[in-house]
Amino acid sequence: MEKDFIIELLQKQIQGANLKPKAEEIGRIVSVGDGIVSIEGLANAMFSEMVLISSWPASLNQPPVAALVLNLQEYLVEAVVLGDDVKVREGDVVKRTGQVLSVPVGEALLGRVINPLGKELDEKGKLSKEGLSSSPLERNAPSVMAREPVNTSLATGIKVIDATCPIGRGQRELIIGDRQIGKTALAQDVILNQLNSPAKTRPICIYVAIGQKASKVAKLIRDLESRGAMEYTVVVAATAADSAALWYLAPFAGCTIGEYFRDKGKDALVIYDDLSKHAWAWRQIALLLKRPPGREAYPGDIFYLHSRLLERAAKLSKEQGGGSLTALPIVETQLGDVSAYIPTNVISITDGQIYLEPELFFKGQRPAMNIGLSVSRVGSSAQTKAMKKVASQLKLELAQYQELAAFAQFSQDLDEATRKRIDRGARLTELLKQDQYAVMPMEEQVCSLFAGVAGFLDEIPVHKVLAFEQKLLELLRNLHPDILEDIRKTQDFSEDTQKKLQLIIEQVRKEFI
Amino acid sequence: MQARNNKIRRYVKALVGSLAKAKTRKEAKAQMSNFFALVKRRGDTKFLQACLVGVQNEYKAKGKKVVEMVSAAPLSLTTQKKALSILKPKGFGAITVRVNPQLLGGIAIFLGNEYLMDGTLREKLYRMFL
Repeated sequence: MEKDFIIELLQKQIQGANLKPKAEEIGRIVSVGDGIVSIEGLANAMFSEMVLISSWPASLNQPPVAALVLNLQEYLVEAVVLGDDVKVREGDVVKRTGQVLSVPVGEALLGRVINPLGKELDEKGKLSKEGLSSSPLERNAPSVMAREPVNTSLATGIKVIDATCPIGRGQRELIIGDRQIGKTALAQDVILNQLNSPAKTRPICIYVAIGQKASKVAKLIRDLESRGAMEYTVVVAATAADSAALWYLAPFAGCTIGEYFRDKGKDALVIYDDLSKHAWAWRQIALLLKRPPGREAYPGDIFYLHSRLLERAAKLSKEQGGGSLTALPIVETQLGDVSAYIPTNVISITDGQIYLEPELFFKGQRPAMNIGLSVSRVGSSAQTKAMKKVASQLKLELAQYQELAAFAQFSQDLDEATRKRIDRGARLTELLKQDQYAVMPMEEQVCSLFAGVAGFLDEIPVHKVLAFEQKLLELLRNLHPDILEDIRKTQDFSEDTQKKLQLIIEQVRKEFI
Repeated sequence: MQARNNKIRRYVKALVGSLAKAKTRKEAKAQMSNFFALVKRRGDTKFLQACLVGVQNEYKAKGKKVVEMVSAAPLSLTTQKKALSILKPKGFGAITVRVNPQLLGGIAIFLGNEYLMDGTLREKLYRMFL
């Protein structure tokens, strides 16, 4: 009985399989080392083609190792191994696949953690093939005519960004700063804040971890899961233990996944954390491929590496579906040097930058965003009317305060108007502090900032400003949700709403003077 | 390593090309002396051994690509001759034959270092279950 059953199983397996001998174009490994293989043969191999390396005869215990062709020379083809090169030996057979490197894309990726080749890294089982298709990692950016100007806000939930440096859907906004300054925390809060958006218009978030510690990525995933944000998030991880090839491919994989949603008319957000490590990986691969090194030993096409990646983030026109892909690349500086090679490259590509300063961080101003050096080239086109009304005043006040900040220590010797300006600026600066994970929807930000710019905080001690804000927002949420609802629905801050809010602010203010 | 191999390949190609033009034994000897002098002048005498082995292999193949037939059991002379009669018109030269019992059955043909026709039982099982 058992024998018959096994024979039946085997017969079924054989019937489905195509077992005709086929002529395959092959090459032979002549050298392997440092993740790079040199292959003799493969005369028709294409650039960026995937090839499969296996011993011959092949063994089921050793599945083929994938490699990516990056150098085509007179007698040799050089490829970077995408798996473990320890298993590759000289003399192994290399077969062409005829396909460029692709990654699975689709709704089935939501809530999953994968590597840049599409392999599952979480323990939620194999990816269902039904909800997935395949898309090449390298794709052309949308043409000029396929785009339209950025006109919709991407709410980050962080007051200082939404007010002074607003980000729009389809924009590229760089987050730049030294190590341990809050760059990833900022990006994480942006993902979390999308919970405040209605599910219909909520952007799909893709977090690409490039060369990050596995423990850090694991913590981030746990934080997102515990707050329900993983439902609309995909994590593409090439951690510190992975090869340079995977670090190199990770951002392209994340971008391709985001493009799937963009091309379907939806909004997507992709965070590259961080592109400095991406540049290191490409430098390592290029040096091993013996490409001539340029400045700081980077290859000559290091700018093109990031420009072709970031150009794929765009707002598509209505004819193309109206979808958008927003990119938040992160770049790490050394000792605040924004004039270094990679930071200047990426700054010139993106539509603005959020510069996080160590000095502000250690003074307790977190997020440590330097408002003077940060910019969003999209500007108020990406802001709601409500936010525009409070933000324009805020930026003016803060600019004046920064000019006078040096005189703050002499406040007793200054004229009344200057002193008031300094006091107002100090309270606004205090108001812009925000804890991690404490993201705020737009309507609450408007109410909070209105209290500041309208001068209601002027008599409140600086150290009580945040407590005042907390109290005000609690009151609005519990007793006056109609005000928040009105701002949220209309996206505007009418005179009537302002008057109602003023009364409530007065009421709360009395407790703190 | 690859620069070294490329250099040897170019030397072999150049020497085989120039020897092919030699009409007499004397001319061929003169070509060889010139070759040795050239290699010495360029400081590449360490590659001389590899170059001569390369020239030997080229002459074995007589400028044609080598076919390697690998089978699970020894092939009969008839089979080998039949294979050669099919492959020779297509520009393939000498056939080398190898036996590898791990293939379980069938035959695999390597056409130069460029193509593989694998009809072995092992490959079929591999395709079925991978």
